[in-house]
Amino acid sequence: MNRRLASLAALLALLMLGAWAAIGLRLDNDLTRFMPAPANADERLVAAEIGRGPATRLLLLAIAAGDADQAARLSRDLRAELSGRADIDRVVNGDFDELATLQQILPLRYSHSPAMDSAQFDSDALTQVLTERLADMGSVGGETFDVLLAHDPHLLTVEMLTSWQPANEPRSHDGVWMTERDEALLLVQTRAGGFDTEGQVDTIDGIRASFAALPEVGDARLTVSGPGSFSARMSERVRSEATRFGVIASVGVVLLLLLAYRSVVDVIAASLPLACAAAAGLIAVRLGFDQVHGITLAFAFTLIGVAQDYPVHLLSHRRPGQPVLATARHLWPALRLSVASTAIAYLSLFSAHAQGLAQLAVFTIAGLVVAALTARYLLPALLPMPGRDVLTMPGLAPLARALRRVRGGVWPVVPVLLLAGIAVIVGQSRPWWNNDLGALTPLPNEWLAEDARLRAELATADARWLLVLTGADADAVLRLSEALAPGFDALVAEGALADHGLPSRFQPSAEVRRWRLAKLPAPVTLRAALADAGDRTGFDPAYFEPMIADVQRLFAPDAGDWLGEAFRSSPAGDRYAAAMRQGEGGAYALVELSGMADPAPIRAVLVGQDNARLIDVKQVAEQMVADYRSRVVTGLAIAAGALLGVLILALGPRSTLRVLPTVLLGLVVTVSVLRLLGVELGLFHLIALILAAGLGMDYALFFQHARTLPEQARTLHAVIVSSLSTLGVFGLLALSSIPVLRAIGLTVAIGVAAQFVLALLMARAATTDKDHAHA
Amino acid sequence: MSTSAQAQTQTTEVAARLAELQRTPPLIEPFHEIRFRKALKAPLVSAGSLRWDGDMNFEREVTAPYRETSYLRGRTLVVERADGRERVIPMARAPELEVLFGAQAALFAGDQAAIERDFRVEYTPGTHWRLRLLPRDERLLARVSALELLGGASGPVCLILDQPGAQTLTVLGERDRPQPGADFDSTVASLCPLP
Repeated sequence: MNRRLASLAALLALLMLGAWAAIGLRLDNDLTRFMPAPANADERLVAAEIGRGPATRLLLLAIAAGDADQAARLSRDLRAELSGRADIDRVVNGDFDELATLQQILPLRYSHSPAMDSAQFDSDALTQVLTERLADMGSVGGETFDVLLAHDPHLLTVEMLTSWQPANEPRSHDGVWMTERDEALLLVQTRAGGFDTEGQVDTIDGIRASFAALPEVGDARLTVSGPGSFSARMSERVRSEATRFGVIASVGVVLLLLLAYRSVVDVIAASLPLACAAAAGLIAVRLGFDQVHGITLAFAFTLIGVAQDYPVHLLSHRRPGQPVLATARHLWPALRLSVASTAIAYLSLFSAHAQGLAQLAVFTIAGLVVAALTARYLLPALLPMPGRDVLTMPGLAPLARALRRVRGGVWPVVPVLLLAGIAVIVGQSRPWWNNDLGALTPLPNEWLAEDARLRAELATADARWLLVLTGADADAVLRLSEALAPGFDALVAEGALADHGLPSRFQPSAEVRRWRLAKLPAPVTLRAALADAGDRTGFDPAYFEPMIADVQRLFAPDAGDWLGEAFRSSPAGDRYAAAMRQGEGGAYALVELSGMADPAPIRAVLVGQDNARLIDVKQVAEQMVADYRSRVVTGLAIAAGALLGVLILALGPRSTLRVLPTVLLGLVVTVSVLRLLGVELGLFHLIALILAAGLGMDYALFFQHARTLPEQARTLHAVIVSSLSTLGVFGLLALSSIPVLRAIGLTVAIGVAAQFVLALLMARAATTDKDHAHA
Repeated sequence: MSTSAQAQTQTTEVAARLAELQRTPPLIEPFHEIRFRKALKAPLVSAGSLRWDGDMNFEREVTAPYRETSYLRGRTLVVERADGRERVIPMARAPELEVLFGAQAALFAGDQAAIERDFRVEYTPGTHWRLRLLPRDERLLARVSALELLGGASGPVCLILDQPGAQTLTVLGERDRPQPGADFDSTVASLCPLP
């Protein structure tokens, strides 16, 4: 009785600690936790750009309204509505107030306009300039640049703004961006980070509410895409699928257990090790990490499902008259070994150097160890003296006898190898591994495709190529950029490149800025030249006094200060800040390139410039994934070695030889079937394979452990219950709309079926000679 | 006459005037344009013709003192200079174009509903009449304070576009090059029928 109370107390304490851990655990949605840790400078750069950065705060909005005019109207209205919101930093839809922008950037024209390089300020040059302005004035829309005329008759400001604008603007209708399908496009920069799920959900809900409340919105449709939208939709989807599958799976497992043991107490008892595993896992990650990824938790809860098997073995092996504790003690060597081998396999996840996987390993190992300990030490004290033997269940005895007739031996090797051979031949042309970094994110393909379509319409820069310029300081980077600019401009003119974002396009080097300002005449000289040009063209020279005052200000000692301020608050300042980074030992710039068909001409321009590197983001990312996976595979190989050692130590070499081939053949079958189904293997398949192998090991060990016919029949009962519940749960996951869960579900379901069948066939083979020996 | 009766009469007279202004596309109207600009010591005079093809489709050709053709198709204006240079101006970025072409398209089409939706209408009837259209949209009003038509028994003669820093008088019809006066008001007085 005391023992029962103590067990109950220990159980309650563990569950309460688990609840404490669950309440205090901080969840995040930073997908980069599943990304491989970068190994070199290029990889660090790529990882930083993919994971964080201002790009993750960008939402893409598309409005489909049937016709382009209506979509354009809604785009304007929505922009006006969103611009005032506190949770939104910036909304752009292509409709920018050109005149307001021109006025805002006007102070920068003499230092930043490329037209300054050829602009002249003597009387003849000014006469020519004013003659051109005279022609402008007569044309329709000739008033457009009136705001500039008195300050900037050369229209240097217009030239400057044009030089900042992308060479390929998105298609535009009535001044707003429009896709080929007549959807109006908007870009929204949220205040909340892309992985701040709650913030993103609130912001997106707000955007949708604003859209629905627009006048004349009718049945127009709003699509929201981008990292923030992904993380919001993903968390919603995981929540709803987890709830749905969770309920179905729980009901199914409870029904199965009721059918198997015909006792409510047994069903409750069977759930305890799993509950303890969850509590232990939560406590372990709570103690070990600041924050845990939501997906880590979802996976981890899936992976500790193996713990369900531990009480099942105990329940199936009970015999009337034998205390449950004795049964637990008898099963313990097999259970211990099963947990140890699964834990060793999960240790290999640490080799990936990705925090998400490390958390997964910690949670799972802690959970499984505690579940096994619960099944061994706490559960027996709580269960009543058994009154029924599963052997009396109808159907089980004939099944066990039938199993005895299976000749066993090594013959299953033949069909397995045959299957593997077919899989290899059929899948010959397909790659074995999926090296796409995108495959590491659990996002559905259709979301990514839609996002890619909208990004292509926006003519955003190529994500594939990144030019990196480095220098001792920012100005050195700008000088390098200026040296490269003529080459890149020529590539754009030739069509080898659609556009480039060299930083010197937005911020000339200090030297160039000084040289341009030095071209300005003294105010007195300028006034005289303007008077002369005015006389020759019919302009009133007094009208240009604002220009003279501007030049005067540039000669003042504080000119550098207000020019710097004007630059920082300009669109060019934004572009410059987005491209420039401070790194170890200097500055560097990330230069976007778009519309590049062939990197060769770019590399040719870069020859001799050691501080300029062209990075193939795709290749670097794929290399990262490949390295990542090869680290996991290496980790698995080490784990397999360790496992072999443990098995030999525990079972001796002969028995090890009886257990291991079953598991290995099960793996071969699983991989072959996946390959025949056309699946390219990724990291999540590997994790699922570990889980399936762990289950196979469990089945094989218990079969191996069962020495007598009744024990074999009880083991058969336990393995049938276990594998059916696992098959049910993971079969459900295989129906998930979330690719990662689908990958895990499919792999484990196939794996469990294969391991179960092989364990039956091979275990029989393993015990045959032993039985003879007993006889 | 009571106020409402006056308003009633006014509405009927405006409707009658608008009906008279209705045209059938294609319409080709020669013009002379006189622009008074704050920046210029003397006004700028140009000549050409305007073609209307229905809806918001216009083609405006300037023949003197330089050559230039502008096309308005829907909500985008393209200006082609004789040297081949081209400027594209979306209507959304040039509010004055929206007033100028929007009002003319509605007048030519006889779309009284559109006129009254977008403008406040002031009408002075008589042998010499005046129709003033004032944009209702604040954004447009900031760029164009009024568009005014002056006419006589034979129809409209002058179109005035009133903008901050610029006043433009368009004299319609085939005629000799008009001589601008010393200022805008005296030019209008000498060239247009005033009520």
